[in-house]
Amino acid sequence: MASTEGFEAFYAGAVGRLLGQLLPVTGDLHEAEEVVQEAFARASVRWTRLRDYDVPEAWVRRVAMNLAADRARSLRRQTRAMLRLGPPPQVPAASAEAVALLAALRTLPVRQRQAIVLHHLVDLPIEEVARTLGTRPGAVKSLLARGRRALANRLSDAEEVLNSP
Amino acid sequence: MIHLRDHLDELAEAAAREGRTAGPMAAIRRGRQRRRRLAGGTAALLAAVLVAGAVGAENLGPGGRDLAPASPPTRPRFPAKLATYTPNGSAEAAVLRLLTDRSEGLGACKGGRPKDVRIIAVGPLPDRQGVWMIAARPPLPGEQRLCWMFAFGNERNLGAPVAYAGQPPLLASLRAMASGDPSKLIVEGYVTKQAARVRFILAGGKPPLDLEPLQSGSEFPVNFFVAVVPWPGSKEQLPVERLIALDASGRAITSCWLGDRDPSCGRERWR
Repeated sequence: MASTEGFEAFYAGAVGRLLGQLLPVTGDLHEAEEVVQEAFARASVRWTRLRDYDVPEAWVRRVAMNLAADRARSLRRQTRAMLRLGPPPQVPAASAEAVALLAALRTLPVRQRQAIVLHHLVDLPIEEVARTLGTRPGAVKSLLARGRRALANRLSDAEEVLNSP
Repeated sequence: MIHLRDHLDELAEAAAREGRTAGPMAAIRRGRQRRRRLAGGTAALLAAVLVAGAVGAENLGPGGRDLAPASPPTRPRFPAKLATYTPNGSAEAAVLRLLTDRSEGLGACKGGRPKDVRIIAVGPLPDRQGVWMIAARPPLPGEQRLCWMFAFGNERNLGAPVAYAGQPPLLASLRAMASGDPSKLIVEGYVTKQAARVRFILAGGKPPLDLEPLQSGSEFPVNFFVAVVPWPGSKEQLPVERLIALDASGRAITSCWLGDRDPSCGRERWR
């Protein structure tokens, strides 16, 4: 039991936040639940080490982000031109604008989604986003710019998205 | 007006509010299971895979028909428990592994008896492209939801399975989903046991095709079906427009529309 001491409290404190951060990346609440739970499962077996981290949640978020990207890539690779037609993704109740944003995010490459979420939702600076995604700051800037441009095109509201902080 | 940050916050709050995970103890259990597996314990399934047996062989005929449940079982061996099922050949083993890997998703599905995942049916994809499988968990008495899963592919190329990691949708009398590639559409789903056939209304005024559901056994409230439909030409239009469940006397019980225009076959997944 000692090896998981404090894990439940950590889980309870972080799970909602992580679900919120993974939903825009996966585009589907069930998928977000799945990758977050799997990331916590992996954290649980390393908990004796992770609990000493300054921010163990960052580790879980990184794993969940990687899992979401793996699943997205795997889906694309495995199915190639295949297109799954139903059922619609599970989304939580939100305003029409937020749901439209989620739908637009789903059309972006997963790396762009990750960069947008980490920078604009989690509020990580560019350098930290780069570390989380295992890439260079310049690449993150490019991902953000392309992602925002694509969102603007899809939402036909270029000025607001491009000017967002 | 789209304010990126505001709406991301809104989505995050909604997900935090409505998201349902299995909890910290489930995460710990899952972590331990994963560690055991990685440590060489290998999934119980893989051990079972090595057990000698002839189950499944005759279900994997070469080729495939235009529209078929890909050879209904000829022996009363389905539903088999996942842990006791022996795949026939590497293609089937690969799909079974996928089913097992992802069965954490089915295992985490909120419904049915824990750890009781059954293989409902297995069949061939056309042109020796591999196999498909349907697995499900028998619902508990009175339960109005069904945890089920469809997977297909071969040892090299595994298709995306349908699985429910959270709460599955309410049971419907007819539910169907579809995957397409440049040459075919795979339609899978379930239907009330009252239905003797599922009629596929095809696009372009082609004659309808009927399919007999795969019998799932008394522990399941519905029977399942899988069909592979040729999809030549334009991808703008699905080759199947509508599904109709018919009883033994040919009367329509229920119907739904397939596709993205009015996809009522999967609509009830929405809460």
